[in-house]
Amino acid sequence: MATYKESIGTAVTNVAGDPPAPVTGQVWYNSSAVSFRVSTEVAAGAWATGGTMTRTGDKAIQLMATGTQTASLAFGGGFDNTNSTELYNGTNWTEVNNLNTGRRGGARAGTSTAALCGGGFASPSVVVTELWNGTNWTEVNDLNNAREAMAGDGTSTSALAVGGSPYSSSSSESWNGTNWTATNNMNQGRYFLAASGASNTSAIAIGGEPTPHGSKTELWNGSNWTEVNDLSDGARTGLAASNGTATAALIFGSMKPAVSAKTESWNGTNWSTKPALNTARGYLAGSGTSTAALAISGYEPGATYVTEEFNSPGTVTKTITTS
Amino acid sequence: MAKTKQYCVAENWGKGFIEHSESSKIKFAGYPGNVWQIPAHNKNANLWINKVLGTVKTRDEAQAIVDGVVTAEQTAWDALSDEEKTIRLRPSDITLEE
Repeated sequence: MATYKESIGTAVTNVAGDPPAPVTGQVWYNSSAVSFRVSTEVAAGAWATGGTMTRTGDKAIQLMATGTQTASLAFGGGFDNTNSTELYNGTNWTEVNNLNTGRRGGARAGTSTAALCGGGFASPSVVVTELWNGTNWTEVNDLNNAREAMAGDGTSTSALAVGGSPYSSSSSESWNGTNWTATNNMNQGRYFLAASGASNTSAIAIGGEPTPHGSKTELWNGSNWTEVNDLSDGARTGLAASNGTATAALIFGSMKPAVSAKTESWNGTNWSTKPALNTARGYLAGSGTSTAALAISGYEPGATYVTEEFNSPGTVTKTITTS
Repeated sequence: MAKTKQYCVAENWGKGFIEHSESSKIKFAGYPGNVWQIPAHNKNANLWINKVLGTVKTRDEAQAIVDGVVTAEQTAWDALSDEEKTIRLRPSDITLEE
């Protein structure tokens, strides 16, 4: 029988851990785990548990998060409207400098090194906006309307803040890096919704309360909101979205009609069902992309601080066993 | 009829608790109280229970654990102010499959 080197052309490498970007079919020896490992493809996608956040207590709901699956920033949240900020490196969460104003359910945008946090609930709802520069949060110009249970997307210099409570707001505001400007409203006012978009000119708003609007999707083209195809698996509220775009997004979790693990993917035209989270949860946060997403914290009922990582399709690492 | 689900209790430690290779083979459903539902009569499910040092429970035992957490959360919600109740949804009951 041919050896691995004869077949592949290289020897099996010895790595203390796993290589950072293995290709499909690559085999290596993980000296830390004392096992042979292989990179294989998961066609339909799958969720795996990720790192556990450092926070404890009543800080699990309505966090805001942004970034990629392996470089995420999560901030605020919790029934006590915390100012806690944590950074994820794909393995561990680390506490970093706090928001100046603790809050939950605000708008998020940006990356782990250049993030935006606007509005939210700080008992009462606030207009306060802060920018993260990779080290510290700095307060900048306010939103026009105080809201909570809202959604946000885009970058730290080109973002949207949509919906929210009170009054099932249909409000939409555009951030240009310096100021918020009111835009044309969404067609359906709602809160506990999610949003995905690359900038303040391209985004989608998804689901939320009240229930009749819970399966609705609206598309923003920079000027107007237009209703597009509904979610494929019914209404949901208190859901999260990846840091996707208006043409590629992943949503997951829900609080209503029951706490749910449902996951759906948006291709710019339609929603389709994807494998469910391993743990159903609502009021969670999301980051990453539609094919490499991160589900963060949430409510089961009861707080959960464990994250989950979605990859579809993609290479995942498996341990080689004799069975 | 043979049962298609089994339950165990195992504390979710985070990274590595459920790997992509495991969730692509079997369906996991986590519930409050560290209760996990996985397929019955399934080699991969049994291997995972061993890996996470899970304690196997009957469906009724698992339901009682879930009920305990949900009831506590519902009681906490009922004690909230009217203002807080408008911005949180009351936790729903959860019924585990047989």
